[in-house]
Amino acid sequence: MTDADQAEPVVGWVVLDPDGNVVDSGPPISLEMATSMGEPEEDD
Amino acid sequence: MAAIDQTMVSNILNATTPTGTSGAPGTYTALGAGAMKVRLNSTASTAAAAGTEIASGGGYTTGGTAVSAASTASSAGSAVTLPKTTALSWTNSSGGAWSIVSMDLTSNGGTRAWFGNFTGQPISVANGNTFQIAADAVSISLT
Repeated sequence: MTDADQAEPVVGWVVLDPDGNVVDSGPPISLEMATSMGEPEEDD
Repeated sequence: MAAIDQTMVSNILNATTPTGTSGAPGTYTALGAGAMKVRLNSTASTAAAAGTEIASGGGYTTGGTAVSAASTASSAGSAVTLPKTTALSWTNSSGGAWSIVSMDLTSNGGTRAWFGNFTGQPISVANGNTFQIAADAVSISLT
């Protein structure tokens, strides 16, 4: 496998220093109305 | 976890159910005109309320930053992503660090529609550093 075959993680947000270097980063975020429908929630 | 403002939930439900006169669909209250905005918060947002907004000044303006272009419209139930093409960017010149936990998508006038917490939060943005949300990094869907 070449380097080109290795998928890079998808970045959603990034913190850059004044020189443009990445200080921190995180994944994209998904906003959904609901993660499941019609299933009762379990009691703790 | 749901990521939509509870007022917007009722807005959508009422507009698509027989809650109007004589069983007609209810009225949808449209969000105001103008480019929608992304606001940043130092605490978590919930369905009931937005988090505590980053203080205005020093690189952040109360209400957040407007997107610069239209997102691709949903089709056949597909998700909508934002920001379109260009990242949203804030450079901290407040003199202290920002701690970013969540974001809200609002109308231009500040009516909230969607919210979400950033994975990896709280995100520390030191004075002089820049926080960016990449193009298409926020995906919004109903299912």
